[in-house]
Amino acid sequence: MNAAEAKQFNCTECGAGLDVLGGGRVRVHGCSYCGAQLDVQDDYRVIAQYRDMVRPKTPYDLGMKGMLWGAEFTVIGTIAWLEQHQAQTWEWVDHQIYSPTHGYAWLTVDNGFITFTRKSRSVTSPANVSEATIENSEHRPSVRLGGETFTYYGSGRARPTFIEGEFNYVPTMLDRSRYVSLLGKTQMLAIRENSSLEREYELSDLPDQAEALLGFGVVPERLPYPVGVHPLQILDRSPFQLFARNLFLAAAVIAVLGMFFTWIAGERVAASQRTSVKDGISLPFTVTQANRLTEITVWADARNSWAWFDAELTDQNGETVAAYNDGVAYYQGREGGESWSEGSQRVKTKLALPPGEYQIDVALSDAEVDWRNGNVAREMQVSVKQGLMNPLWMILSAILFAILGGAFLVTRFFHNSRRWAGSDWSD
Amino acid sequence: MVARIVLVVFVLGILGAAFAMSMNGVWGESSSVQSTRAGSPGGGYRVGGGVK
Repeated sequence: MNAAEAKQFNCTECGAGLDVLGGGRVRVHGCSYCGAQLDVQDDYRVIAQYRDMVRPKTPYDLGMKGMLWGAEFTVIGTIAWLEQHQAQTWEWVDHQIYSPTHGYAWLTVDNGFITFTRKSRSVTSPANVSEATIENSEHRPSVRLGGETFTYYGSGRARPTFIEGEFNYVPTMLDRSRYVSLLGKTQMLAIRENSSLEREYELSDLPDQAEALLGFGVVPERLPYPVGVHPLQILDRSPFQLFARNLFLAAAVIAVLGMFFTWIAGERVAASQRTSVKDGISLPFTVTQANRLTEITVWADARNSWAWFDAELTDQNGETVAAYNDGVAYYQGREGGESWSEGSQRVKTKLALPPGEYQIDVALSDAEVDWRNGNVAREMQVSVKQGLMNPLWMILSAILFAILGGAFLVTRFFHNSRRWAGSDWSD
Repeated sequence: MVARIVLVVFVLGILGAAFAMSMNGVWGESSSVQSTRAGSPGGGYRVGGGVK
Protein backbone atom coordinates (compact mmCIF):
# COMPACT_ATOMS: atom_id res chain seq x y z
CA MET A 1 0.00 0.00 0.00
CA ASN A 2 1.27 3.47 -0.73
CA ALA A 3 -0.05 7.02 -0.80
CA ALA A 4 -1.22 6.79 -4.38
CA GLU A 5 -3.43 3.82 -3.64
CA ALA A 6 -5.31 4.94 -0.55
CA LYS A 7 -7.10 8.10 0.64
CA GLN A 8 -6.80 7.22 4.29
CA PHE A 9 -4.80 4.81 6.43
CA ASN A 10 -4.20 4.06 10.07
CA CYS A 11 -0.96 5.08 11.77
CA THR A 12 1.16 1.98 12.17
CA GLU A 13 2.32 3.27 15.59
CA CYS A 14 -0.86 4.53 17.28
CA GLY A 15 -3.65 3.40 14.94
CA ALA A 16 -5.04 6.88 14.37
CA GLY A 17 -6.74 7.49 11.03
CA LEU A 18 -4.63 9.70 8.77
CA ASP A 19 -5.55 11.29 5.43
CA VAL A 20 -3.46 10.77 2.32
CA LEU A 21 -3.27 14.09 0.55
CA GLY A 22 0.06 14.45 -1.10
CA GLY A 23 0.38 12.41 -4.29
CA GLY A 24 2.83 9.75 -5.36
CA ARG A 25 6.11 11.45 -4.47
CA VAL A 26 5.43 11.65 -0.75
CA ARG A 27 8.28 10.06 1.23
CA VAL A 28 7.24 10.54 4.82
CA HIS A 29 4.00 10.93 6.74
CA GLY A 30 4.27 12.44 10.23
CA CYS A 31 1.39 11.28 12.43
CA SER A 32 -0.57 14.19 13.85
CA TYR A 33 -1.35 12.24 17.02
CA CYS A 34 1.74 10.33 18.12
CA GLY A 35 4.53 12.09 16.19
CA ALA A 36 5.61 8.88 14.45
CA GLN A 37 7.39 9.47 11.14
CA LEU A 38 6.16 6.81 8.74
CA ASP A 39 8.01 5.75 5.61
CA VAL A 40 5.38 5.95 2.90
CA GLN A 41 7.61 4.02 0.48
CA ASP A 42 8.00 1.14 2.94
CA ASP A 43 4.48 0.22 4.16
CA TYR A 44 4.41 3.08 6.63
CA ARG A 45 7.25 1.70 8.68
CA VAL A 46 8.06 3.86 11.70
CA ILE A 47 11.43 5.47 11.09
CA ALA A 48 11.34 8.01 13.93
CA GLN A 49 9.00 9.39 16.53
CA TYR A 50 8.97 12.89 17.97
CA ARG A 51 6.94 13.40 21.13
CA ASP A 52 5.99 16.57 22.99
CA MET A 53 6.33 18.81 19.96
CA VAL A 54 4.68 22.20 20.53
CA ARG A 55 2.15 22.89 17.79
CA PRO A 56 3.01 26.19 16.09
CA LYS A 57 0.54 29.00 15.58
CA THR A 58 -0.51 28.91 11.95
CA PRO A 59 -3.71 29.68 10.07
CA TYR A 60 -3.41 26.49 8.00
CA ASP A 61 -4.47 22.95 8.79
CA LEU A 62 -3.63 19.82 6.85
CA GLY A 63 -6.12 19.23 4.06
CA MET A 64 -7.00 22.86 3.39
CA LYS A 65 -7.37 23.55 -0.32
CA GLY A 66 -7.04 26.78 -2.21
CA MET A 67 -6.16 28.31 -5.57
CA LEU A 68 -2.82 30.03 -6.21
CA TRP A 69 -2.09 31.47 -9.64
CA GLY A 70 -4.84 29.38 -11.12
CA ALA A 71 -3.77 26.02 -9.67
CA GLU A 72 -5.40 24.16 -6.81
CA PHE A 73 -3.07 23.25 -3.96
CA THR A 74 -3.66 21.20 -0.82
CA VAL A 75 -1.82 21.74 2.46
CA ILE A 76 -0.16 18.39 3.16
CA GLY A 77 2.61 19.07 5.71
CA THR A 78 3.74 21.43 8.46
CA ILE A 79 7.24 22.17 9.72
CA ALA A 80 7.90 24.87 12.30
CA TRP A 81 11.41 26.34 12.36
CA LEU A 82 13.40 28.09 15.05
CA GLU A 83 16.52 30.18 14.54
CA GLN A 84 18.51 31.54 17.44
CA HIS A 85 21.33 34.04 17.31
CA GLN A 86 22.66 35.47 20.54
CA ALA A 87 19.58 36.69 22.41
CA GLN A 88 17.34 36.86 19.35
CA THR A 89 15.01 34.16 18.06
CA TRP A 90 13.07 33.90 14.84
CA GLU A 91 10.24 31.48 14.21
CA TRP A 92 8.33 30.64 11.07
CA VAL A 93 6.16 27.83 9.75
CA ASP A 94 6.52 26.07 6.41
CA HIS A 95 3.59 24.18 4.93
CA GLN A 96 4.26 21.76 2.11
CA ILE A 97 1.48 22.04 -0.45
CA TYR A 98 0.65 19.77 -3.34
CA SER A 99 -1.09 20.22 -6.66
CA PRO A 100 -1.83 17.21 -8.91
CA THR A 101 -0.96 19.41 -11.90
CA HIS A 102 1.82 21.63 -10.51
CA GLY A 103 3.55 19.36 -8.01
CA TYR A 104 5.01 20.39 -4.68
CA ALA A 105 5.63 23.83 -3.23
CA TRP A 106 5.61 25.63 0.12
CA LEU A 107 3.48 28.19 1.88
CA THR A 108 5.42 29.95 4.60
CA VAL A 109 3.89 31.90 7.47
CA ASP A 110 6.45 34.45 8.65
CA ASN A 111 5.74 37.64 10.59
CA GLY A 112 2.10 37.33 9.58
CA PHE A 113 2.91 37.26 5.85
CA ILE A 114 2.31 34.30 3.55
CA THR A 115 4.91 33.52 0.89
CA PHE A 116 4.82 30.90 -1.86
CA THR A 117 8.06 29.04 -2.52
CA ARG A 118 9.16 26.60 -5.20
CA LYS A 119 12.47 24.93 -5.76
CA SER A 120 14.53 26.05 -8.72
CA ARG A 121 16.48 23.59 -10.83
CA SER A 122 18.76 26.38 -12.05
CA VAL A 123 22.03 27.14 -10.31
CA THR A 124 22.96 30.65 -9.31
CA SER A 125 26.13 32.39 -10.40
CA PRO A 126 28.14 32.14 -8.21
CA ALA A 127 26.69 28.89 -6.95
CA ASN A 128 26.85 29.82 -3.28
CA VAL A 129 27.36 32.70 -0.86
CA SER A 130 29.61 31.34 1.86
CA GLU A 131 29.82 32.60 5.41
CA ALA A 132 33.35 33.82 4.64
CA THR A 133 32.05 35.82 1.68
CA ILE A 134 29.40 37.43 3.87
CA GLU A 135 31.91 38.22 6.61
CA ASN A 136 34.61 39.64 4.34
CA SER A 137 32.58 41.44 1.70
CA GLU A 138 32.47 45.23 1.87
CA HIS A 139 29.19 45.37 -0.02
CA ARG A 140 26.15 43.13 0.05
CA PRO A 141 27.04 39.98 -1.94
CA SER A 142 24.82 39.24 -4.91
CA VAL A 143 24.16 36.33 -7.26
CA ARG A 144 22.46 36.05 -10.64
CA LEU A 145 19.73 33.59 -11.53
CA GLY A 146 17.65 33.61 -14.71
CA GLY A 147 19.00 37.01 -15.76
CA GLU A 148 18.00 38.63 -12.47
CA THR A 149 20.31 39.89 -9.73
CA PHE A 150 19.58 38.90 -6.16
CA THR A 151 21.19 40.91 -3.37
CA TYR A 152 22.07 39.55 0.05
CA TYR A 153 19.35 39.96 2.65
CA GLY A 154 20.10 37.59 5.52
CA SER A 155 21.46 34.23 6.55
CA GLY A 156 21.32 31.83 9.46
CA ARG A 157 20.87 28.30 10.69
CA ALA A 158 17.48 26.95 11.67
CA ARG A 159 16.20 23.74 13.21
CA PRO A 160 12.74 22.18 13.13
CA THR A 161 10.59 22.25 16.26
CA PHE A 162 7.49 20.57 14.84
CA ILE A 163 6.89 18.11 12.01
CA GLU A 164 3.48 16.89 10.91
CA GLY A 165 1.92 15.52 7.74
CA GLU A 166 3.30 14.52 4.38
CA PHE A 167 6.56 15.57 2.75
CA ASN A 168 8.31 14.73 -0.49
CA TYR A 169 11.57 14.32 1.44
CA VAL A 170 12.51 12.98 4.87
CA PRO A 171 12.58 15.78 7.43
CA THR A 172 14.00 15.05 10.87
CA MET A 173 14.23 16.99 14.07
CA LEU A 174 18.02 16.69 13.74
CA ASP A 175 18.08 18.73 10.53
CA ARG A 176 20.19 21.88 10.69
CA SER A 177 19.44 24.01 7.68
CA ARG A 178 21.82 26.80 6.70
CA TYR A 179 20.22 29.35 4.46
CA VAL A 180 21.22 32.53 2.67
CA SER A 181 18.34 34.68 1.48
CA LEU A 182 18.76 37.24 -1.28
CA LEU A 183 16.26 39.77 -2.54
CA GLY A 184 15.55 40.31 -6.22
CA LYS A 185 13.20 42.66 -7.97
CA THR A 186 10.03 40.66 -7.32
CA GLN A 187 11.25 37.38 -5.85
CA MET A 188 13.34 36.20 -2.97
CA LEU A 189 15.98 33.54 -3.46
CA ALA A 190 17.11 31.19 -0.73
CA ILE A 191 20.23 29.10 -1.06
CA ARG A 192 19.72 26.29 1.42
CA GLU A 193 22.15 23.64 2.64
CA ASN A 194 21.01 20.77 4.86
CA SER A 195 23.07 18.76 7.30
CA SER A 196 24.35 16.60 4.41
CA LEU A 197 25.56 19.78 2.64
CA GLU A 198 23.05 19.21 -0.17
CA ARG A 199 22.39 22.58 -1.71
CA GLU A 200 18.99 23.69 -3.01
CA TYR A 201 17.72 26.89 -4.53
CA GLU A 202 14.27 28.19 -3.68
CA LEU A 203 12.39 31.11 -5.18
CA SER A 204 9.68 32.84 -3.14
CA ASP A 205 6.86 35.11 -4.21
CA LEU A 206 4.42 37.14 -2.16
CA PRO A 207 0.99 36.02 -3.39
CA ASP A 208 -2.19 37.98 -2.93
CA GLN A 209 -2.60 37.61 0.82
CA ALA A 210 -6.40 37.36 0.72
CA GLU A 211 -6.20 34.65 -1.92
CA ALA A 212 -3.55 32.77 0.06
CA LEU A 213 -5.58 32.91 3.28
CA LEU A 214 -9.30 33.31 2.65
CA GLY A 215 -8.98 31.29 -0.56
CA PHE A 216 -7.73 28.36 1.56
CA GLY A 217 -10.68 28.66 3.90
CA VAL A 218 -8.86 30.36 6.77
CA VAL A 219 -11.52 31.73 9.11
CA PRO A 220 -11.25 35.43 10.09
CA GLU A 221 -10.34 34.72 13.73
CA ARG A 222 -7.27 32.75 12.58
CA LEU A 223 -5.95 35.37 10.17
CA PRO A 224 -2.36 36.36 10.99
CA TYR A 225 -1.35 39.94 11.75
CA PRO A 226 1.42 41.09 9.41
CA VAL A 227 4.23 42.96 11.15
CA GLY A 228 6.03 45.75 9.28
CA VAL A 229 6.69 45.52 5.54
CA HIS A 230 7.63 42.26 3.85
CA PRO A 231 10.77 42.40 1.67
CA LEU A 232 8.64 41.34 -1.32
CA GLN A 233 6.02 44.03 -0.74
CA ILE A 234 6.64 46.30 -3.70
CA LEU A 235 5.11 49.76 -3.44
CA ASP A 236 2.63 49.61 -6.28
CA ARG A 237 1.52 53.01 -7.58
CA SER A 238 -1.70 53.38 -9.49
CA PRO A 239 -1.45 54.91 -12.99
CA PHE A 240 -3.07 58.08 -11.65
CA GLN A 241 -0.52 58.34 -8.84
CA LEU A 242 2.32 57.90 -11.32
CA PHE A 243 0.73 60.54 -13.56
CA ALA A 244 0.40 62.96 -10.61
CA ARG A 245 3.99 62.32 -9.52
CA ASN A 246 5.37 62.94 -12.99
CA LEU A 247 3.19 66.02 -13.45
CA PHE A 248 4.32 67.53 -10.14
CA LEU A 249 7.99 66.85 -10.85
CA ALA A 250 7.66 68.29 -14.37
CA ALA A 251 5.93 71.36 -12.92
CA ALA A 252 8.78 71.75 -10.41
CA VAL A 253 11.32 71.70 -13.26
CA ILE A 254 9.29 74.27 -15.23
CA ALA A 255 9.03 76.45 -12.12
CA VAL A 256 12.82 76.30 -11.62
CA LEU A 257 13.37 77.33 -15.26
CA GLY A 258 10.85 80.15 -14.77
CA MET A 259 12.67 81.15 -11.62
CA PHE A 260 15.93 81.64 -13.54
CA PHE A 261 14.09 83.48 -16.32
CA THR A 262 12.53 85.93 -13.85
CA TRP A 263 15.80 86.20 -11.94
CA ILE A 264 17.93 87.39 -14.86
CA ALA A 265 15.33 89.73 -16.37
CA GLY A 266 16.13 93.46 -16.52
CA GLU A 267 18.22 95.98 -18.47
CA ARG A 268 20.35 98.88 -17.35
CA VAL A 269 18.89 102.22 -18.44
CA ALA A 270 21.16 104.73 -16.68
CA ALA A 271 24.44 104.87 -14.74
CA SER A 272 26.30 107.80 -13.24
CA GLN A 273 30.03 108.40 -13.11
CA ARG A 274 31.85 107.71 -9.89
CA THR A 275 31.51 110.94 -7.96
CA SER A 276 32.69 112.32 -4.64
CA VAL A 277 30.16 111.60 -1.94
CA LYS A 278 30.31 115.29 -1.01
CA ASP A 279 28.71 116.26 -4.33
CA GLY A 280 25.83 113.75 -4.38
CA ILE A 281 24.33 112.41 -7.62
CA SER A 282 21.32 113.43 -9.71
CA LEU A 283 20.58 110.81 -12.37
CA PRO A 284 17.71 111.07 -14.87
CA PHE A 285 16.31 107.91 -16.37
CA THR A 286 13.35 106.68 -18.39
CA VAL A 287 11.09 103.75 -17.57
CA THR A 288 9.48 102.19 -20.65
CA GLN A 289 8.27 98.80 -19.41
CA ALA A 290 4.94 98.71 -17.63
CA ASN A 291 4.21 96.29 -14.77
CA ARG A 292 7.84 95.62 -14.05
CA LEU A 293 10.16 96.59 -11.24
CA THR A 294 12.82 99.30 -11.41
CA GLU A 295 16.02 98.82 -9.42
CA ILE A 296 18.17 101.68 -8.20
CA THR A 297 21.66 100.65 -7.05
CA VAL A 298 23.92 102.89 -4.97
CA TRP A 299 27.60 101.95 -4.72
CA ALA A 300 30.08 103.51 -2.34
CA ASP A 301 33.70 102.59 -1.52
CA ALA A 302 33.15 102.24 2.21
CA ARG A 303 35.60 99.78 3.79
CA ASN A 304 35.32 98.64 7.38
CA SER A 305 32.74 101.37 7.77
CA TRP A 306 29.15 102.23 6.89
CA ALA A 307 27.58 105.03 4.85
CA TRP A 308 23.94 106.09 4.83
CA PHE A 309 22.22 107.81 1.92
CA ASP A 310 19.02 109.79 1.41
CA ALA A 311 17.32 109.30 -1.95
CA GLU A 312 14.50 111.24 -3.55
CA LEU A 313 12.70 110.24 -6.72
CA THR A 314 10.93 112.88 -8.82
CA ASP A 315 8.84 112.54 -11.95
CA GLN A 316 9.02 114.51 -15.19
CA ASN A 317 7.04 117.36 -13.58
CA GLY A 318 9.55 117.66 -10.79
CA GLU A 319 7.14 116.26 -8.23
CA THR A 320 8.52 113.95 -5.60
CA VAL A 321 6.97 110.52 -6.00
CA ALA A 322 9.04 108.54 -3.52
CA ALA A 323 11.81 108.89 -0.97
CA TYR A 324 13.85 106.43 0.96
CA ASN A 325 17.08 106.10 2.84
CA ASP A 326 19.34 103.14 2.92
CA GLY A 327 23.02 102.42 3.41
CA VAL A 328 26.02 100.28 2.66
CA ALA A 329 28.20 98.54 5.22
CA TYR A 330 31.27 96.59 4.23
CA TYR A 331 33.92 94.91 6.36
CA GLN A 332 36.92 92.79 5.50
CA GLY A 333 40.10 91.48 7.09
CA ARG A 334 42.30 88.47 7.75
CA GLU A 335 41.97 86.17 10.68
CA GLY A 336 43.82 82.93 11.33
CA GLY A 337 45.52 83.24 7.95
CA GLU A 338 42.22 83.44 6.07
CA SER A 339 40.53 86.40 4.45
CA TRP A 340 36.98 87.28 5.38
CA SER A 341 34.46 89.86 4.26
CA GLU A 342 30.97 90.82 5.35
CA GLY A 343 28.31 93.14 4.02
CA SER A 344 28.35 94.90 0.67
CA GLN A 345 29.41 98.16 -0.94
CA ARG A 346 26.13 98.13 -2.89
CA VAL A 347 22.57 98.70 -1.81
CA LYS A 348 19.68 97.97 -4.16
CA THR A 349 16.19 99.38 -3.94
CA LYS A 350 13.30 98.12 -6.04
CA LEU A 351 10.28 100.18 -6.96
CA ALA A 352 7.19 99.60 -9.10
CA LEU A 353 7.20 102.64 -11.38
CA PRO A 354 4.82 103.25 -14.26
CA PRO A 355 6.45 104.21 -17.58
CA GLY A 356 7.74 107.80 -17.61
CA GLU A 357 10.76 109.99 -17.05
CA TYR A 358 12.26 110.20 -13.60
CA GLN A 359 15.24 111.60 -11.73
CA ILE A 360 16.86 110.06 -8.68
CA ASP A 361 18.81 112.33 -6.30
CA VAL A 362 21.10 110.56 -3.87
CA ALA A 363 23.16 112.27 -1.16
CA LEU A 364 25.30 110.98 1.68
CA SER A 365 23.63 111.64 5.02
CA ASP A 366 26.03 110.00 7.44
CA ALA A 367 29.09 107.72 7.52
CA GLU A 368 31.35 106.24 10.16
CA VAL A 369 34.35 103.97 10.48
CA ASP A 370 33.53 101.31 13.09
CA TRP A 371 36.19 98.65 12.43
CA ARG A 372 39.99 98.71 12.45
CA ASN A 373 41.86 99.90 9.34
CA GLY A 374 38.66 101.31 7.91
CA ASN A 375 37.97 104.32 5.72
CA VAL A 376 34.76 106.25 5.19
CA ALA A 377 33.14 106.27 1.76
CA ARG A 378 34.79 108.84 -0.57
CA GLU A 379 33.20 107.95 -3.91
CA MET A 380 29.73 106.84 -4.91
CA GLN A 381 27.90 105.76 -8.05
CA VAL A 382 24.22 105.27 -8.93
CA SER A 383 22.78 102.98 -11.61
CA VAL A 384 19.23 102.12 -12.67
CA LYS A 385 17.78 98.91 -14.18
CA GLN A 386 14.26 98.45 -15.46
CA GLY A 387 12.17 95.45 -16.47
CA LEU A 388 12.93 93.39 -13.37
CA MET A 389 10.61 90.65 -12.14
CA ASN A 390 10.14 89.10 -8.73
CA PRO A 391 11.28 85.42 -8.80
CA LEU A 392 9.74 84.82 -5.36
CA TRP A 393 6.53 83.36 -6.80
CA MET A 394 8.36 80.96 -9.11
CA ILE A 395 10.55 79.88 -6.18
CA LEU A 396 7.46 79.21 -4.06
CA SER A 397 5.75 77.25 -6.84
CA ALA A 398 8.97 75.26 -7.46
CA ILE A 399 9.10 74.41 -3.74
CA LEU A 400 5.40 73.46 -3.72
CA PHE A 401 5.68 71.11 -6.69
CA ALA A 402 9.00 69.70 -5.51
CA ILE A 403 7.34 68.82 -2.19
CA LEU A 404 4.30 67.28 -3.91
CA GLY A 405 6.38 65.27 -6.39
CA GLY A 406 9.11 64.55 -3.87
CA ALA A 407 6.58 63.10 -1.42
CA PHE A 408 6.10 60.19 -3.82
CA LEU A 409 9.85 59.59 -3.96
CA VAL A 410 10.29 59.98 -0.21
CA THR A 411 7.51 57.52 0.61
CA ARG A 412 9.06 55.04 -1.82
CA PHE A 413 12.45 55.53 -0.15
CA PHE A 414 11.01 54.90 3.32
CA HIS A 415 8.98 51.93 2.07
CA ASN A 416 12.11 50.36 0.58
CA SER A 417 13.99 51.09 3.81
CA ARG A 418 11.32 49.14 5.68
CA ARG A 419 11.57 46.30 3.13
CA TRP A 420 15.26 45.98 3.96
CA ALA A 421 14.79 46.57 7.69
CA GLY A 422 14.84 42.84 8.46
CA SER A 423 18.20 42.33 6.79
CA ASP A 424 21.09 41.30 9.01
CA TRP A 425 23.65 43.10 6.85
CA SER A 426 25.63 45.90 8.45
CA ASP A 427 28.13 48.05 6.56
CA MET B 1 -9.49 60.97 -17.32
CA VAL B 2 -11.52 63.75 -15.68
CA ALA B 3 -9.32 63.57 -12.59
CA ARG B 4 -6.22 63.91 -14.76
CA ILE B 5 -7.63 66.91 -16.57
CA VAL B 6 -8.55 68.57 -13.27
CA LEU B 7 -5.04 67.92 -11.97
CA VAL B 8 -3.41 69.36 -15.09
CA VAL B 9 -5.63 72.47 -14.88
CA PHE B 10 -4.74 72.83 -11.19
CA VAL B 11 -1.00 72.60 -11.87
CA LEU B 12 -1.11 74.92 -14.90
CA GLY B 13 -3.22 77.39 -12.89
CA ILE B 14 -0.66 77.56 -10.10
CA LEU B 15 2.24 77.82 -12.54
CA GLY B 16 0.47 80.52 -14.57
CA ALA B 17 -0.49 82.54 -11.51
CA ALA B 18 3.04 82.30 -10.10
CA PHE B 19 4.57 83.38 -13.42
CA ALA B 20 2.15 86.30 -13.79
CA MET B 21 2.84 87.50 -10.25
CA SER B 22 6.59 87.18 -10.78
CA MET B 23 6.41 89.09 -14.09
CA ASN B 24 4.39 91.87 -12.48
CA GLY B 25 6.84 92.17 -9.61
CA VAL B 26 4.20 91.48 -6.98
CA TRP B 27 5.68 91.98 -3.49
CA GLY B 28 8.98 92.89 -5.14
CA GLU B 29 9.24 96.50 -3.95
CA SER B 30 11.72 97.32 -1.24
CA SER B 31 10.10 97.96 2.10
CA SER B 32 12.27 100.99 2.80
CA VAL B 33 10.60 103.05 0.08
CA GLN B 34 7.93 105.53 1.15
CA SER B 35 5.84 107.62 -1.19
CA THR B 36 5.93 111.32 -0.43
CA ARG B 37 3.32 112.28 -2.98
CA ALA B 38 0.56 114.41 -1.40
CA GLY B 39 -2.52 112.48 -0.38
CA SER B 40 -0.77 109.16 -0.11
CA PRO B 41 -0.92 108.16 3.51
CA GLY B 42 1.45 105.68 5.01
CA GLY B 43 3.54 104.30 2.19
CA GLY B 44 2.92 104.77 -1.45
CA TYR B 45 3.27 101.36 -3.10
CA ARG B 46 0.64 98.75 -3.40
CA VAL B 47 0.99 95.23 -4.66
CA GLY B 48 1.91 95.40 -8.34
CA GLY B 49 0.44 98.80 -8.69
CA GLY B 50 3.31 101.23 -8.87
CA VAL B 51 3.38 104.68 -7.38
CA LYS B 52 0.14 106.09 -6.00
